[in-house]
Amino acid sequence: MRKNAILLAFTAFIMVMPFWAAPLSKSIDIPIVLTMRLVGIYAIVAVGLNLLMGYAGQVSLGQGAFFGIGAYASALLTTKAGFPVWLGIPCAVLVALIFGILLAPVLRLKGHYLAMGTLAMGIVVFVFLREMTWLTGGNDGVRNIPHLSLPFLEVTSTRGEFYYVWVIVIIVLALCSKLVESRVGRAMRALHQSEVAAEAMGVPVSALKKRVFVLSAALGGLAGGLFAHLQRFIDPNQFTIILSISLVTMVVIGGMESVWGSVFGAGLITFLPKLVEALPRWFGDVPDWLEKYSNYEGMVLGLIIMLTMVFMPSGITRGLVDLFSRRRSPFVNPFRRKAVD
Amino acid sequence: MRRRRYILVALLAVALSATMLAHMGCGTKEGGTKEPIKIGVVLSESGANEPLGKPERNAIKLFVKRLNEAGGIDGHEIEVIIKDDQSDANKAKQAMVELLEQEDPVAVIGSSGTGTTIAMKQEAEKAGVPQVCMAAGANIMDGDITWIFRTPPTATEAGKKALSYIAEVLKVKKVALLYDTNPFGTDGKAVVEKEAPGFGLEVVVAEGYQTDESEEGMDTHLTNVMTAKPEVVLVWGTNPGPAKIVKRMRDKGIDLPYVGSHGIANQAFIELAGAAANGVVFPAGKMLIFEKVLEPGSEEYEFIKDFSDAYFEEYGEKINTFAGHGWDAILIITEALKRAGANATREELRDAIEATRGLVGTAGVFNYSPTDHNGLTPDDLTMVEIVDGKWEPAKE
Amino acid sequence: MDFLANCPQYIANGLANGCIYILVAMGFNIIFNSTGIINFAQGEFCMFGGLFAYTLAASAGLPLPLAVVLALAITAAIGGLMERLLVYPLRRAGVLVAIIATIGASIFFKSLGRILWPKEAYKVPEFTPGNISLPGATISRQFLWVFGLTIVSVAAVYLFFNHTRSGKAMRACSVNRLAASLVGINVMRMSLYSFLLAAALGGLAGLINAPYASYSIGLFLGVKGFTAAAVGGLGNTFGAVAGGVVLGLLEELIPGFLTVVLGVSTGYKDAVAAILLIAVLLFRPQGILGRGVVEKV
Repeated sequence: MRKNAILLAFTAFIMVMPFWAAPLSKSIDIPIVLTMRLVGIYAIVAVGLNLLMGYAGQVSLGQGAFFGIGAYASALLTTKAGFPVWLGIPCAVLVALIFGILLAPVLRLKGHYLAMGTLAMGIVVFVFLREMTWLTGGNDGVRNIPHLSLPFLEVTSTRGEFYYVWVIVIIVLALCSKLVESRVGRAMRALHQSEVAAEAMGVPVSALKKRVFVLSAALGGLAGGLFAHLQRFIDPNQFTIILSISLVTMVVIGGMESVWGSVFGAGLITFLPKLVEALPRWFGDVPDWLEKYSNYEGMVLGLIIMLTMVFMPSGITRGLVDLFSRRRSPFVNPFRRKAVD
Repeated sequence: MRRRRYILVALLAVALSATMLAHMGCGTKEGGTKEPIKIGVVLSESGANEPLGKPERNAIKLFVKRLNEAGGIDGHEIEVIIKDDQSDANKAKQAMVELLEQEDPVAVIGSSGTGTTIAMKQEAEKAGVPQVCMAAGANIMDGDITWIFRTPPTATEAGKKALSYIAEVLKVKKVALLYDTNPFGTDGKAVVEKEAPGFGLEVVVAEGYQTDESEEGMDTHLTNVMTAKPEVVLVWGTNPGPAKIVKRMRDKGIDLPYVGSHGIANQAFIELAGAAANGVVFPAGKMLIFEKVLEPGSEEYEFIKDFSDAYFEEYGEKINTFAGHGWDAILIITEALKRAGANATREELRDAIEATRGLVGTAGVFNYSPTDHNGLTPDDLTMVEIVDGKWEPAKE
Repeated sequence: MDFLANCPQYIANGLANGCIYILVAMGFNIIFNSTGIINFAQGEFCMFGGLFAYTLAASAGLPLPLAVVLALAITAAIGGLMERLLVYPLRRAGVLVAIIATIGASIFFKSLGRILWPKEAYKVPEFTPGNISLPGATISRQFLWVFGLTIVSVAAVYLFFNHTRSGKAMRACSVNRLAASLVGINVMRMSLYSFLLAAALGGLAGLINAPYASYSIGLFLGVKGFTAAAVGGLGNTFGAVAGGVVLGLLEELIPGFLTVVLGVSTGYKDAVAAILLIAVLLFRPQGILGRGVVEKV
């Protein structure tokens, strides 16, 4: 019940957003609706990645690969094979899903090995996107990708794109929250705690892991497909390791084992630069170093990640909820010694 | 149940307060007697193209400052809104849409790199706004060129200049091409492979490298290309890759001529390659050695001298090619605005830019036309040779 | 048979790169052994080593040996700081949290490097400039330093772990941390030592790795170093040696073969290490020298 109410409230919030956000954007100099389209796209990948990392406990540093595969699949099908966009995106999902199945053996790895294996997977996909020039155009990329569309309706306005993306995000969120509440979701969490215990309880561990991996790949493909038609120009350099790492950042900052946390994480990471960029416009002249935020964006992000991991390992969303509900302190004091040390 | 109410209330509160804020913020701007003319700028101030974006930004800011001090255009000040795309095509597009939706500029400048420029170009076409880019990628001009203009010499001009030097001055036939696998390198590779037959040259081998590889890694690439028995080595990349290659080449005692791209037209290359840099030849704008190739007193000489002095006075740095590209971009727009009038529409401004003839800039003399939006020719470039760590005109 | 004629050169180059990979891989191993963590910021230690050596030697004008020692000390200190402020607090956290925290450190360090050293690359003075011509190959004198220092480092690490009290204590930590602490080993101090040592090795790799240092080298060397460690068997010193040599050689021989014999020269070289890593992890997860992995339940 409660979950449904939250989803409903969130949907209402999103649906009215463009109405109040447009004048607000002007006065605070942050393009809210425009940025929210991207937040939506990253939220889809991040939610998928959270199912894999937060719930099933399997690290992936290669999620950007599925994002890229989805983007290229839809971009190439619509520009070269003449598919309509509303058909290209489902095909992107399908292609990413197939790649997910093909790459699933990587799940035989555990912990650190899995992290490095998926990182390597991301590198290989990037190099192939760049080098298979006959298909992908190499560094020249794919350009003039058509706009998002429904049958008989091309969506070109920012507001239209916003609704297009967020309707899909809300459907994904609804399905994923259902999933994590279900038997499968409980099995996934059991898996995260201890694979052996889960196996002993009758959870088909490797089949389950594989399914979650493929699902997260498909969600990556979906987001990639949407991204290609929003961006309308893609090249391999948009799908590097840096993308995969920032996706992981969104998940951990938002909070593992929290579908909503990933949406928050995606929002935070995407809006942070806009916020700092807007500072000089709010306060007039700010020091030069503050104006060039992009220079030290990495330091800020790295610091946020490290601080979150050390002091609020459950993520900022969960931390804030705990803080307000006063049930327990979200902070940990990692420097306190225990007898075991 | 209580939690749910909290959340609903919180969401409502956020929406309400945001709406109020939005309406409060709508102040009116005061000050200048005439509306400023807005020009949007998107540059790669960070990320891989940072060495390009930073001087470009400096030059544009300085140019506008000087112009406004001199009274602007018909009394209208120029206002530039600069955004950073972090060398990422995705962010460049986002910045472009933001500029168009929020600022309504009469023209845009950007970006520094090829991918970011293409991402912006599509939005410029959609919105119908003149765009002046500072990227060299030949492929930018593929397709529709209605709205896009360019200030630097392209890979095509640089490639042709380098190839004609190989064919006519070095008088050799077999070229080994080493290119960086980044967009700069692959663009150059495509141009060289396309244009070489026209100069009677044969690209006997084309090998890609990654700029982060060690000297030994570069040595392997060199060993690979040497088996094809070339007569000249052409390296298309930006630092530090080309420096590692030339150093390894001289270490191994290979005394074939080394021709570089305009990507090494900076002091960093000389510092990195050390003594091995001697004898390296590359195409570059005349600005790089204007004191040696241009006549003092000529219009071009005086223009660059003025730019160079002003830039040094403001920033305490010597000018470089990229600062020049930024200077040219804002020059072309403002000159066209002077002709079209300060209240020109985007279409009128575009036509005015297209009508630019014989405009002296830092990179050469710009001539645009409805069919040519590049503005420069290979003659605006010159071949530069590194002699004892200094740039000198190469023998033509 | 141009390819065969080129082989000595490929092998020399492959060995030179392999030595660098060995040094990075040993850093991964040492930290993994004493803390059970894969340090994703290992590559950034290489970056710091090279860039500090540049600043001290070329910019500040210190004599090269002094600059090198100082650069290594600073890098080691950064490693120690990272252990105290980040890894120590996370000693009870899970693998996932630790991985992500070190990724955060790596992003932080890289960005810091970019701000402090903004140019594309810096030239670190070579230890001894010049070259040596061998039949079929030309190598730089720097190569001898790379080779020699790698051998010395491998030997030193081996002796340290097998013949000193601290080294043995660190090995004990890798077998069973709880048991080690029960017999009186200060597990936390061992964790600090391992970061100091690994950072110094990484820094060494960064500053002798052909004399060009840049902020972007970290990811490049980090992935290569981990590949070498994984190929040889994670945690195994001689495994790192084997892994580094295999990776170094394959990376030069495969593209050489492609270009010279098949005439297809490509940028696929960038994927060689990644593909090798995936293949080894999937088909021989214990590495080529490792024994079977016993999973702790």
